[in-house]
Amino acid sequence: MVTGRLNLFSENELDQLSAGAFRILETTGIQVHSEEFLASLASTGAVVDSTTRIVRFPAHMVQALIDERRSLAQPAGRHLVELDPDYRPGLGISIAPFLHDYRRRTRRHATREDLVEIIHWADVDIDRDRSVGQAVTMREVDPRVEPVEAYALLMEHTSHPEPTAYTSDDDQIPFLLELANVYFDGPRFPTGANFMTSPLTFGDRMARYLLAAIAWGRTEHGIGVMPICGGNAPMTIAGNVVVSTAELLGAWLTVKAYQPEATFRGGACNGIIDMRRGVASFGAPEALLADLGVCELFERRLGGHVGMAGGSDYIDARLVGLQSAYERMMVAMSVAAFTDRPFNLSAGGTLDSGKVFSPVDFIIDRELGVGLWRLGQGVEVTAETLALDTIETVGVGAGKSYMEADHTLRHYRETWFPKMLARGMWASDDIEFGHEEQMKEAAFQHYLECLSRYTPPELDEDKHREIKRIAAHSRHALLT
Amino acid sequence: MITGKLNIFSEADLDQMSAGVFRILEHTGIRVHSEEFLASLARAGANVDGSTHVVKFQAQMIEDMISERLSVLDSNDSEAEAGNGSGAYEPPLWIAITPFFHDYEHRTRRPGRREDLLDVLHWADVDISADQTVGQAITMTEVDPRVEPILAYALVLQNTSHPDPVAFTSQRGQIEFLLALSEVYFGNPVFPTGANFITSPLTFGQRMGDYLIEAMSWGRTHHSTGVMPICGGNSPMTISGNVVLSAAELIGSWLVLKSRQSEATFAGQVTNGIIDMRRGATSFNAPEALLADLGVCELFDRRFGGGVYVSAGADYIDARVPGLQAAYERTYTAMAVASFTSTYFGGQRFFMGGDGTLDAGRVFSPVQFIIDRELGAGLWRLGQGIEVSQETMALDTIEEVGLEEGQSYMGTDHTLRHYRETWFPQWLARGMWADDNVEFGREAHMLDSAHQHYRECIARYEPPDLDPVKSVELNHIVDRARCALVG
Repeated sequence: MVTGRLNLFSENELDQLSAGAFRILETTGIQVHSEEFLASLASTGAVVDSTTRIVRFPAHMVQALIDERRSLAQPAGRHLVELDPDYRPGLGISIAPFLHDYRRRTRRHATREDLVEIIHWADVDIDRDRSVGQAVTMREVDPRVEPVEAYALLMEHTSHPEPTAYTSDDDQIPFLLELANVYFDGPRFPTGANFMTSPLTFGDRMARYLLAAIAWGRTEHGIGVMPICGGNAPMTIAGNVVVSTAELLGAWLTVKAYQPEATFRGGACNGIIDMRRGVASFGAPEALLADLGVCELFERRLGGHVGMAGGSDYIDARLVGLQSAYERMMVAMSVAAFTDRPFNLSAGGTLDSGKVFSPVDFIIDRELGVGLWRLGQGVEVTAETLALDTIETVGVGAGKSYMEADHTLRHYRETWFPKMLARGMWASDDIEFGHEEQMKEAAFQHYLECLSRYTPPELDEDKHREIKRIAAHSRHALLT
Repeated sequence: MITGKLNIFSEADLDQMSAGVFRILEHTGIRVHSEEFLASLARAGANVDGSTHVVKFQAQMIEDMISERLSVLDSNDSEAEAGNGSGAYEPPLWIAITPFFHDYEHRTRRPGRREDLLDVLHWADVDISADQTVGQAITMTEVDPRVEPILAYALVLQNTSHPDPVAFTSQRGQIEFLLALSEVYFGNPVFPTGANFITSPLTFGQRMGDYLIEAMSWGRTHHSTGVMPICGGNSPMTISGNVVLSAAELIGSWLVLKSRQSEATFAGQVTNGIIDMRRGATSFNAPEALLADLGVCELFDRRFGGGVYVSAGADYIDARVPGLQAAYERTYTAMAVASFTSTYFGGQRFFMGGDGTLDAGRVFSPVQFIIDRELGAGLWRLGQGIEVSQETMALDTIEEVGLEEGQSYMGTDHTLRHYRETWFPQWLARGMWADDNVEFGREAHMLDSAHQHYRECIARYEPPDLDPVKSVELNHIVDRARCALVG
């Protein structure tokens, strides 16, 4: 069992960062684009400027929220999480606009046909007790109705769909709830626009989504921040951590004003502007440090419950290869070491900062993730694994071997045998220099084999009809 | 500064393993192939069997050694504190002595030769920071191995202005010549590194004995010994069994040395492996091998006085060529060493290392070294952590930018003061998708660029300004060595 964690900050540094977030909330405040939330904020003691929509929070309001959060149970650390014996990731909701089309060696906008194909592959390749989410968005489908159509397709094409849909607009929510009600015999509130706009802005879309969630009865809310150093946040990492923290606390205070019983989770997905290239990077070490810094500040000062929103999903690599392996591992291992989470690669097959989905990348990452998972399982120590009797039996001296020991026979299958990674002796120049391409090709062949083995799920005809009716109804309601 | 570390074991686990190490040293012992050491062990009270050369140690002897170590070394039970320096990531070229050279130009792996070693030295002289050293990356397979380390050391001294002072020796007889070379070049002798690894299971070999006796005679009192047991081959299949065997081998070897040199102090190195029974191949980079390495380090940190580190760092990976697997394995190992150990590789915590080797240390690739350096710079930046000050928290700037739509930090003085502090990778991709040809060819282009950089450095090489008298003397020593060792 792996215990312990790494820390970035001293106690004094945490005090400074915490005081900085308080100062920003008191003196700069956040801008709230919602009359409903502004009204409730005014009634709970926040200083609301209704012309500019800027809300400032007295220190005691901020402190009260933190005190309440610190009294809540904290999420279990790595050593308390029950680990599966095997690494079996599901296919999360990535909603990537692009597909890595391995067949044609191109990146292109994803279509309905792509989404259906990916669902078919995933239905076969993802374990039955793991869910299949919407990996890509359908370019040719009107975005006002696309999430509803995609959710319906998931239900129709896989026997283990992700229960949670994604919504880009609150108008879609009734249809998504209706679909869930039909398929799962109970509504599932969709995930949606729950990220602050930096700097320090609680936007209209986020407000409408959260109001809908509150109206539906949800009391726990996940909110994210995504400030970019040198763009909409200070260039320095500590400044970014302060802005991120003020944004999260400010957002929570806003929701709390409307729904006093609300509890919260937070997600950080920070970036940095690479000024030499004039581009934002979410895979840079500085961006990673900012994410980890926000998590640690909440963990040690502000009541925890803040994680890295993208995990190792938001990397700069555009294709699976050297760079993606490096960035994924650096992020995933940092999350495990600095935030006390399991050693989980948790890559959803996305590349290029979440813009591209690649089945080949997903399959290769799953192989890499097994190695990481195994590391997180640690070392079992028992009389049997210590093997003292066997060590004494084999004895000392060159040439002595454990190969034929019964103990070896009992345990050799417990090791990880990678399917695609190379081990052992050099084969030939052609094989070795072509190994990486062969690995990608093997992953793609695996993808195709899964497609060929796909059979549609047995979906009750009445339910199927009803799903189609709701999708058609949403088109009529949202597009006309 | 980054603090804390991860742990694998509970206190009860450590107690069990510690007891296991004592039991093995008391009941199984180690075999010592050295008459000199067997004699000193007998004098020191160990139970020596003169016919089998097996030496068993009383618990008190072991206890005394550990107590002494605990009193001298930081046990590291307290919170580990280490961070990377504020400077740039500038790795040296360590001694890798790989038998094979990755010839990128011809897409082949072949035995290293003298001309390869010279190319590598010329490249490294230009490309390695002048305040970092250049060591012997590859061995010259066409040169008689009895004299190869001497010729190689002379070439290192003659072909770079910042040579690694420490040579490598494979035989006791080479040492006097290596000392003579260093004395000519540096003005004082530098004792070489050499055969200091135990042979598993539990065997203190003749070559190791010879080397360490020579080191003691020369006056060295701090010794580093290493272990390299392989789960399922020459050590138990299970990781905790491997940890016990490794720890017994390290402590056993130290007790052997201590019996002859009572003032000796020690460091330890682990490079454990595992047999992949499906392929019948050894892996030094499997997660189980890495866990064994980390487990040994932790057992010593928390029970035996520390001072043991993962000897190869991220060097021993299974990948045979630069690319996805090499990047994965290097990063995986380096991050694990940074997270789990408090005895850091090269004195730095988040350090990619790697030395440009592939295929479990058998192949040296300049291209891999150059790529590793790029990747290592990102890891290095991570290890530098976050500076917290009034200036870096930027509260005034946050207030100044405020909340107006369209306001940006891009135009602030604060951004201007700090934007150069970020890491700008040279070859890794960032930003928008270029086009299919560029993106699908990017990795090959990256490797080609690294190779071009290697060739450009060689083209820019100029021989160091070495005193001709010294150079002639170096050649004379090599000639004498050839005559004495090869005939």
